[in-house]
Amino acid sequence: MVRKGGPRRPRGSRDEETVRAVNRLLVERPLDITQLRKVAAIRGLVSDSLRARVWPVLLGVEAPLAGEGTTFAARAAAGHKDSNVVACDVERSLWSFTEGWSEEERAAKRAALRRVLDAAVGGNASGVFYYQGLHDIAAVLLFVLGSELAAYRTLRALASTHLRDCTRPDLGAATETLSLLYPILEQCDPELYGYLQGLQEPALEVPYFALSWYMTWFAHDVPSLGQIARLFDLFLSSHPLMPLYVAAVAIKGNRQQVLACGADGLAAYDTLKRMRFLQPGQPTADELAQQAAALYQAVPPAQLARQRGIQLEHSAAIDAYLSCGRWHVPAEPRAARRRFAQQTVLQLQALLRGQPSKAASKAVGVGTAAGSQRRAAVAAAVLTSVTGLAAMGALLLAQLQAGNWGPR
Amino acid sequence: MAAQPGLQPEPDYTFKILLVGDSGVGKSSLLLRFATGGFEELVPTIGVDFKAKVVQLGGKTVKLTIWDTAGQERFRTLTSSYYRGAQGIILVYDVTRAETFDSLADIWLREVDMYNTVDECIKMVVANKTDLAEQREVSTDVGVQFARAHGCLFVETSAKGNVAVEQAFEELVLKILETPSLLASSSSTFGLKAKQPEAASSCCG
Repeated sequence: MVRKGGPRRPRGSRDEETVRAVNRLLVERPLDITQLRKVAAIRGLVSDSLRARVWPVLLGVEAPLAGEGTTFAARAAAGHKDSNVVACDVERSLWSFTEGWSEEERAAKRAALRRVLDAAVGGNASGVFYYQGLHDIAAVLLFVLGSELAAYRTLRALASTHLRDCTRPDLGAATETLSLLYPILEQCDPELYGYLQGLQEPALEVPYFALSWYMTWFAHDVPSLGQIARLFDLFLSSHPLMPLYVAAVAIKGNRQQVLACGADGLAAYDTLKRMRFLQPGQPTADELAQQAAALYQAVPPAQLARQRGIQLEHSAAIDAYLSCGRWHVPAEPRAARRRFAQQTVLQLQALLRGQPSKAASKAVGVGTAAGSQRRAAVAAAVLTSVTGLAAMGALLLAQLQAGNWGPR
Repeated sequence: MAAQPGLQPEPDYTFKILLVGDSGVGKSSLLLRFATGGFEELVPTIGVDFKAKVVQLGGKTVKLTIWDTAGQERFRTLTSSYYRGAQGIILVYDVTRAETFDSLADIWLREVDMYNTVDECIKMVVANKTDLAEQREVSTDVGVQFARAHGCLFVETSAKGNVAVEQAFEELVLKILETPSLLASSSSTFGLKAKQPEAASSCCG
């Protein structure tokens, strides 16, 4: 909808230019990941063959690991907590991407999708869990990247970075992150935001209508693979909260329908929940991506949270940071990191004050054996504290790096 | 849109109904069949869906807002807030998967007890997918006994074969209509929590 000033060159020549630029970037050494992310986010990657080469690079998983095939097969075969749900979801998936296929072809693709999902979340102790909706993202990866191994590698990386808040054992972190949609919408369309708040509709209290957009990167709601792939170009290049910025600009694009609901809060909820994207006459995926990126530049998540005094305890995505040109997400949310820091401080204090009084009261009978035990305990405490301090330093560094905002 | 504007009289009552049960038992299909009369292969529900339908029953015009929840365990933190204010709760299992029946006792009835806020709320057990007779794992008798033991209505349905779906919803609504305390709780506040009575302005049309 928003047209930048100046005449636009025809699509074809712009695409050719993009392909040339990306090809050049891919052979350059050292790789300029930042530039690659910028091109992918703002111009889009034009074709699936180009995406198949660039997407893994954006996440740093372009090189197959030694013995990957064997690990993949073993993980795909091993069961996990949600194996049944995966089976159930895959069985009713891929309808929109397999129009005109035979049942056998579709069944084969579904079997591949199931292997990718089971391998991505299975056989690991990193606390990554399957959620309904991850299969929508996996399907896009499988179709665009073309190979199970590439899809598996990419999905596994996403599950512990961009999708980290969604792959936790419950929905707490994802819900908290999702709640940032309202402040983002307020920046994007204050009037519409004011209208929704004024409705005081309980069903709109948390923007759950946008849950599937956020958790599936719109793959659950948009049937066109080409359009979805263009949005994925943006998401893979950007801060993990970028889907919320796309959601905000998409809602703004449908504002008339929402406002037409008047005082009927449930109708507004229903309109938002059933909102159609990327229809003829609506902004294209390319336009949505550009508008969302511009909105992000204007108010990045951490700045927004600071301005509004929003404290997120369970979300790790809010603290995503750039390192070596790529987006990373802390393994633990802020609350867990603070707990860790507090424990370290307590340990240090205990160490400096000496042992607790219980030990002192027994001190009369203390012999050499007890003394050496105590020395060992002190050494252990020092070691733990030093490790803790190092970890805190690393966290601090990570936070500082988070000052670098993408997709720039 | 929530209701068919212009065609229906103002409803006498508005009831909130909730569909719960394991993933893939057919909650969304039952709702689609009831609300639109159709059936299609559906994808999993992410979060919570919602449909409204106005029905004429027992001489009354009743607006139903039916909330359809995701079945996966992790979504329960979300769906728990949707129990509040529900006059009717439909617990669905798949007759071809015994584990989905076991979940009613192990999980879903407990959730209902824990989160439901309406005393005398009507519960109904729906045994779905009866069209898959050869793969059946849970017999009608077992279902009936379970429902009776837990004070629930019981209906066997096939959303795909269009068997008894409308009947199930109607039976539930009629039972609600017979329960005076539920009629008293019917109002426009069928949302997640009591709404502020202040009129929401829509100055910005």
